[in-house]
Amino acid sequence: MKIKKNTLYMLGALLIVIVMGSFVLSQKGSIVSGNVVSGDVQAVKMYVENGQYVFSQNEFKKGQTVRIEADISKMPGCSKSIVISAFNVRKTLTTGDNVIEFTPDKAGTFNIACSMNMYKGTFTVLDNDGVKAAYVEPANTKGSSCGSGGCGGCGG
Amino acid sequence: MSFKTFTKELNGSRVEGELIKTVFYSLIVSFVTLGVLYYFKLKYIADFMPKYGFYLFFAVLSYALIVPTIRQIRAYKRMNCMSGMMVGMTIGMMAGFLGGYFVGATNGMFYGGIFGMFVGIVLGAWMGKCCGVMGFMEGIMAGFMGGWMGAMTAVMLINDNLRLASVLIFLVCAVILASLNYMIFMETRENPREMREDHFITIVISFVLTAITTWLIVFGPRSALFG
Repeated sequence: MKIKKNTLYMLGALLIVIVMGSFVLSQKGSIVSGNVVSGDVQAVKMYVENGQYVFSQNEFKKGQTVRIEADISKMPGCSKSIVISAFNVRKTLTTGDNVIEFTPDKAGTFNIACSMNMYKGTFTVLDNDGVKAAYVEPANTKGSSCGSGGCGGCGG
Repeated sequence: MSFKTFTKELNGSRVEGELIKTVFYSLIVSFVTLGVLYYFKLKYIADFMPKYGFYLFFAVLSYALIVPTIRQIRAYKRMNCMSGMMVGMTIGMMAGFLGGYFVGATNGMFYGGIFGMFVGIVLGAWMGKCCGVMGFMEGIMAGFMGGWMGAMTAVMLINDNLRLASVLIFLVCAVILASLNYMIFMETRENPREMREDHFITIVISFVLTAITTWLIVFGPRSALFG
């Protein structure tokens, strides 16, 4: 039986895709931390006011788990979709699951934002000795402000 | 002339008979480029595979589907106005959307949008000019729109099923690009092939797109959300 050249190319292409795909997809990593509890828990409340995330207390200790309980009734639209990129936290909050837990492993001032970078806020992680670190995570200041006038496309 | 004729022609002597070979070459070039980069540099980057590997893999697959269409259009050079506009629009939109989506998923909306728009406009205008200024303009417009749309979609899905959406979006784009190959075949079936070429362009485009995408996704600037 004569095999056509293009059939071989097609099989070759499929083989490459399968081999590379299985290599890429089989490797698991450590992204998206989330609920890792370490030592005492620092519990705070969070809600949104004027397009900003507001914490009942916004200074945390390094190495100690932070437990953020969100007041969903005060979190409009896409503000429920939280990203804290410095600590690999990505979570969409619901009324049934309104808690974010993570353990900060570095000190400084960090950003919290919604997944569209429209609602924003900051919090500080103090060094082990309780001193405020000089590091400030660069903020993307070019997003729009959902809170002031509602945000088209991410309401709800 | 049906789709069956087209599939038959995939083994024929016209340019359609070279499409699968072009996909194969594009995949080889892109994966060899990625492999070399991985061996010398990327494997030392923490969480490279889980963070970026998935999107790079699908970006490479996307380019392997776009490149054959470029070869097919170059082979016929000229098309009538309506078909040329369709070509410019489809290539511009698909290249822009896919490029923007995969870079947007790792670097944020701004950088994804810029990259997608650039790739979409360049390829859309280049392919669209086969029918003159209308196709050229259509390519620019589609590339502009597709690039930003792709990046925006990725960013909006960041806390949702971003990976599953990536697979679905890729599959839909693959069907659209295959349909475009079929459409070009239908529209040019009476035309003689005007250009015969080796696979230099395939290799260059695949290499350049893969290299730029890899650099952007792994080392490129990213917005605060993706820090």
